[in-house]
Amino acid sequence: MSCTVLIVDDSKLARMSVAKSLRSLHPDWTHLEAANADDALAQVRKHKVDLALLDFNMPGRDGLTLAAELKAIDPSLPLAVVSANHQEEIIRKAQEIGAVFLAKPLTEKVLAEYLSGAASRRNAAAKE
Amino acid sequence: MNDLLQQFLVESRELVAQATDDLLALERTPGDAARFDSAFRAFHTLKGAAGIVDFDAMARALHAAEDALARGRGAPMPPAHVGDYLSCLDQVIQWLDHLEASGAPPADAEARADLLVRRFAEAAATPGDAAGDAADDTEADLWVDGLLAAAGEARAQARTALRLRPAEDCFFRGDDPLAVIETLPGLLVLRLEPAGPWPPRDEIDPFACRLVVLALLSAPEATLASHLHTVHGQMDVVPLSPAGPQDTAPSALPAAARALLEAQLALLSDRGAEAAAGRIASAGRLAENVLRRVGAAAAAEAVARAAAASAAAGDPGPLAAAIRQALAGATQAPAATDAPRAAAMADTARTLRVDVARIDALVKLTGEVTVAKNAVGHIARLAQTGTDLPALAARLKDQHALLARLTDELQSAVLNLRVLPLRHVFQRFPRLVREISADLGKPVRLVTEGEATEADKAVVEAVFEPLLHVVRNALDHGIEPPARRSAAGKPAVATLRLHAARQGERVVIAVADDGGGIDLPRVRRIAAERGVAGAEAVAALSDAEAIDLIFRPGFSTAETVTGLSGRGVGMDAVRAALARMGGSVAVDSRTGHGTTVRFTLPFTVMVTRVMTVEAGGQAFGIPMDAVVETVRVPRGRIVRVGAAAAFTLRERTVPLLSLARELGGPADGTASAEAQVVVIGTDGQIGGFEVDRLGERLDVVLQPMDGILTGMRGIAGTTLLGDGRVLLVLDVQEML
Amino acid sequence: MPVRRLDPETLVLEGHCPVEDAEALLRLLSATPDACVDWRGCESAHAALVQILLATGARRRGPPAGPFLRSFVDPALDAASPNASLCRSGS
Repeated sequence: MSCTVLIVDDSKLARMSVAKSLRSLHPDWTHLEAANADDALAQVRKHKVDLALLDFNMPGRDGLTLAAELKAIDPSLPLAVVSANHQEEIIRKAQEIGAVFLAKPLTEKVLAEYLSGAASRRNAAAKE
Repeated sequence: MNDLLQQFLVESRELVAQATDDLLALERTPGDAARFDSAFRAFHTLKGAAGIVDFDAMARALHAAEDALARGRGAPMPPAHVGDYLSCLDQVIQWLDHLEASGAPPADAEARADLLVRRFAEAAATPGDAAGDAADDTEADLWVDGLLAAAGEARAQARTALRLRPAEDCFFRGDDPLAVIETLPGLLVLRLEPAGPWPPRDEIDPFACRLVVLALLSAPEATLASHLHTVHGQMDVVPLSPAGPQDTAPSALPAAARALLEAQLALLSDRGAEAAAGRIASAGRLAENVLRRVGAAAAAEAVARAAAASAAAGDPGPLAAAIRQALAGATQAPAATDAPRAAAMADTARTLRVDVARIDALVKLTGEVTVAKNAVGHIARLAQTGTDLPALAARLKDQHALLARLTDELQSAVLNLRVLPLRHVFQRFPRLVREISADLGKPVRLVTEGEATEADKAVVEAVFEPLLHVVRNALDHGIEPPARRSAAGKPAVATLRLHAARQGERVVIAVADDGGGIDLPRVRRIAAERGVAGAEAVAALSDAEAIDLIFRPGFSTAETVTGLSGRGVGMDAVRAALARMGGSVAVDSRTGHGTTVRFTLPFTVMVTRVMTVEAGGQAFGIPMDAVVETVRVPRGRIVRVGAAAAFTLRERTVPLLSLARELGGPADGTASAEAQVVVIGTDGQIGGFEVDRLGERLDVVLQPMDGILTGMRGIAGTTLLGDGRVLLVLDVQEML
Repeated sequence: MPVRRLDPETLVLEGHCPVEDAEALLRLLSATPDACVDWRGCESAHAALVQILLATGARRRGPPAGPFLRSFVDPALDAASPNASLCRSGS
């Protein structure tokens, strides 16, 4: 099943890089981009989003704050918080919110594993 | 260049600018938490960006910088650290320039990253204690010796020594330090040590990592980088020179290494008999370490052998001789730092980064041109069959109009390819201004505006030198020392403004300071003293004209030659540099309020290729487009037709003009047997110019005529030659 | 389970031993300090387990099965505690 993935990162380069991996892994999926938390919330309200990848380190509200806000809108939305710093606190907080922590730069392999897991969970949730 | 790399360059430059801005702000207010966070985020994102494009050296350097920033979080940033971070950003800019020019990181990127990593490590280890560094280095590398000693035969292959001290909580973070080691290429030897004494067995915490992992690898350091930043903790990587013929050649020793070796010689020459064995052992070991550290493996081996001989004989002689040989065989480190940059700039001049959208526009235009070409081909075929000529003529006219429009669009699209933002130039100034201001003891705030303003690549690249000269002048002469500023009721910190803006087909770059303005009476006095102009002439000049004196050759307002602006190039060099680009420079000064130097530059530079010729003692340029050929015509074959002359060239009569006389010069009384003729063709007409001599072919930037030359018939424009002479470029069409 | 007690004198590390097993290994070694660790069937071991072997100086019976363990880790443990006696084979 085709999914729509929301990529949130203030770095356009990082968004391009994830989008590129996404295209090669799932050519039939679509993706949306947002450069900050407000853009991301607007995208989620406007479009049906199946998955979201959130950069932790962003100006304004960080990825964890955004994750909590997105969960408030759609508690079943699979989220991943992406950061280059493996700080335990970030990992723990991400888990508390119900988001997965992924290390940056996001390799295609890690992304593939995460996507397959998250998409199947999303589909299972949709069938319930 | 792919679009990821393209975006990487754009984004990295923005991040460098942001980080530079934040660091300079932190220097003014070291405790500004918001600025600190912003700088931290910029370094962090830069590191991430480097990771995305697999620029390992850059990622490593920035990782070290980010770590250093993280360590300093919460405390005011020491000014010395600001310098370290700015140097790191400067290195990043150089890398970006190289990457942009050549599509790949420079060959020495890893080595330069090493320097930065070491610099941050040292700053962390010994804050403000530079003297201890060298000793620390040799001390720290004792583990390398231990590892090499244990290596046995593998020692010969070892290129890199690695020490990994994982963070105690690394198991919690999901790291397996040994699994990382397992992935390293060329692993030769592994050693495991405890970070400290183990606690009693029943007090061991199974999940607290207290391992020190040591490894020798046959892979060079550079190939390891991508594997290594996945581990939390401290990592020491020491490159080892392979034993082999390549390092028997003397390598340059850094000054610190020389000093250490010389200290060992002094120690050995101390004739006091007591503890000679101890001195030999210690001096031998240290000298060996120093040499190995700087990559002189062969010399290190020689010293080690000599130390053994000395120890056996109880005589320091052999060791001292070996150390002396190591010192003699190695020359002083050359100042190589500027060479790569110069090379990179030379590269930049030949390659060009182009916005994808601009290429797309060209591709689209090319498509339209192809369609037009096909249409014309079709019309030609119709014309052959002889159908309805008036209708064909109408269609041909339409196609001609279309082609004319496309040609114009192509021309402007091609010119747009050569456009770069001035950011490329401006972003080098924060660090330069900071350094100059520190040298002079004049605090300065630099404000840059209009960095996004675009100009021709040739202009952007050539404007740096003159701009730097003007900025130096402003800091050196324009801005007053803080005490004098305070006395004048001005803020002690001066403001220097770099401003760029597009004005129609021109780009204006202004350098404005809020200093004391140009001291006109002094300018007049100096101009008279130095013979720039006669005393009476100087006195007769208006103030506006007097300011112009600073652009005259031989004028320099510096009373003492400083290291900064007293370099024998004055504002006359700036004016000449701008003239070569087809631009001009003007100065505006208000006593007590500051000086503004304004460069006016063409947005695009139209380069015309000309053939230079000499006639009547004057140099002229003839556009190469118009030159058909050059011939020597025997005087006997020149036919007078009334007042005019002509000669026959391949059965065609060619009117012959004397260039000197046409342009109102003296009639040429040449008695040479042959006339040197340049045959010109334009719009189907043909003609010959007799000249005295043919010169070289040049690419010149044409400037429109001004002053007394305005309206001079037959001249398209002027350009300044390298030797300062003015070249008149002919308007051939008008002359024939 | 990759870590288990075979008999009062022998602990066995088998297959791939993840980080969680470090605790079990330490517990077993604390209960039977003189037990011999037989890791001939061990393909890989997380650094946490290797650290336990190093810290306790436990006697080992090897060489382990995994090439990295066999070629690098086992010799490194030997070098770190040269006096640790090896288990006699066949016990």
